[in-house]
Amino acid sequence: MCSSIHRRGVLGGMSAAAIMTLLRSNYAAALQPPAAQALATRQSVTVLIPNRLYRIGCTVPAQRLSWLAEDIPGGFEPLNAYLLIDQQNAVFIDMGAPIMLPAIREAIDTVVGSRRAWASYTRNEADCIGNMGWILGSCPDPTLLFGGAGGILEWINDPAVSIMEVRDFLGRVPIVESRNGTTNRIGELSIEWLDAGLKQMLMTQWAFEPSSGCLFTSDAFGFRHLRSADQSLIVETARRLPAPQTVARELVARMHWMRGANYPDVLVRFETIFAERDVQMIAPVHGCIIRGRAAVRAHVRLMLEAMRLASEIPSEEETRYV
Amino acid sequence: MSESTPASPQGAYIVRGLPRRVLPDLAWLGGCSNSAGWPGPASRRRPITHEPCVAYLILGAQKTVMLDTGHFAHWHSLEGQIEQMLQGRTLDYVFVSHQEIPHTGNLGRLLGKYPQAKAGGDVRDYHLFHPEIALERLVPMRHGEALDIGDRQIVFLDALWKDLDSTMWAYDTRLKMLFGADIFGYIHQDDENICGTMLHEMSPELAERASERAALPFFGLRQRSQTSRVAAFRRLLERYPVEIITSGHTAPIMAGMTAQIIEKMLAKLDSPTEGPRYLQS
Repeated sequence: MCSSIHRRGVLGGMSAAAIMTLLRSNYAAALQPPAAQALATRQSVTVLIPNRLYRIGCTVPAQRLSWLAEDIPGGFEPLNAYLLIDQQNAVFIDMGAPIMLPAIREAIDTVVGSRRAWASYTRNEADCIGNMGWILGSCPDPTLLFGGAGGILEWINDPAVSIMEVRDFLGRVPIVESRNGTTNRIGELSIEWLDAGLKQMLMTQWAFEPSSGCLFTSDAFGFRHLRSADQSLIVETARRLPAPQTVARELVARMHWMRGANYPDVLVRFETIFAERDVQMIAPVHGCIIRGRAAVRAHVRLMLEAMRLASEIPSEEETRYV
Repeated sequence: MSESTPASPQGAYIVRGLPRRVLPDLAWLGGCSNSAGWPGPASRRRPITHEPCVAYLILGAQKTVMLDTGHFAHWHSLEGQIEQMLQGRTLDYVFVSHQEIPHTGNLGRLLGKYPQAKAGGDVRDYHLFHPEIALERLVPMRHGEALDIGDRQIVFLDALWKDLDSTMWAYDTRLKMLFGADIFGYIHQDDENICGTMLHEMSPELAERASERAALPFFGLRQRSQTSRVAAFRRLLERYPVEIITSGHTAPIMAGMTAQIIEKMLAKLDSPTEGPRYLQS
């Protein structure tokens, strides 16, 4: 791909953003057009709270998605990342799946601007860190908020960039710890990090930002889908909720461990998280955003009921070996 | 807030002792994650621990198959490893165990490098993570379905211990080899110098120690008895006799050690006090 020794000599004094700009200009011509990109629609940035909180994302057909109990014919699924801002700072809470890169680029151009960028993620899966390379390479003065373990800077998966150049991020992107049980003050923003109230992957974080009242719930609370492509992404009502059994079936599609399990401690902790915070908005990585205290309370009650029902759903894999 | 920018950054994904051609038709690829390379204070944790992040290449009589793709962070070495082990052949198929980056993060690069190759497994979500891949190259495979590669079949199996709900295992009917995704993963220490080494190549004491530190990343182990799953695994072994164990996080377990390692792992899983242990990859 390149003469890495010579290139490193040239790149030695450059910032991460400058490196990425140079590399993209070299490699862009070699890219194949994205085959599945056409599946994504409504690539956009949505204002949730003016001058404070934005949703970034797209919608895809509600089919071929592992967290759904079954395909939803004619349905659509929002895929989400979020941006918290004040005058000086722009904090990404998750960075979305690669299919939503056009929305990420729009957010960088129209919202981040010249603000100092911070990148955080609730899980190290591709729907949360899929655009990390683009964000760290394109935003001014990026800093990575790091809550877990593992060499996360080497998880950048940008097909436009040689892996040897990605490794040049090491030593160039500052790291700030964001461990569970701690709070990062970034300008006017105060972001609390906590172990997820419901999770499938061991290293899953939730984040709570009090000025917006927003709880970022990663892969939990993603059970509100779109019946049509133009339906609102935001649920603000406690009416017409899905049935608890329906939510339970979807819960175990993602949180497989709940099938046939017993988890009173998980239920207690889940409830406590909401009892201890004034949550006014729930922001998942997929599914609709839930906004307003009444809507939040109703969906939390629904989740608890569904979580109890989920334990009654049997796992199927054992029956395959008879 | 503490802020650190390492003066001498060390990669968290290293390659030692790989690739290896374990058998004429089986190659072991990839490397290890390395805790000394993690960002920030985590890099100073001692002892330094490694976890294999590996993939396997089966060279069938007519077709070749990769089992998982290895970690994206190893691509700098993995690309050459694959070429070396293919010895001029092309890659025909990729078995995808589940859509987690350490296991299938290189799918886009692999299918870009081998434009005729296809990926098979539970292929939901991959179109979101790899929009560059044409949808027809992502082939849904269900439990019990098989890929014929000339001198054997690769059977797709529903995993009994799942990192993600979509996790599948693969079984090679000629090698009698199970690829178990995240099960049978082990963590070792940097100072043990066993990267790229199989258990039967170690001293008995080292092999015993190396097979004690199982990595069990399955949240929910404590919330449910594993007895029925252990019983189901034994039934799996009756249907699909296993002489070689592989996974995304282990060296091949073979050469007379398979049965004892299986029993050791099943005893751990069936223990009421055993819980999930973080997989450091």
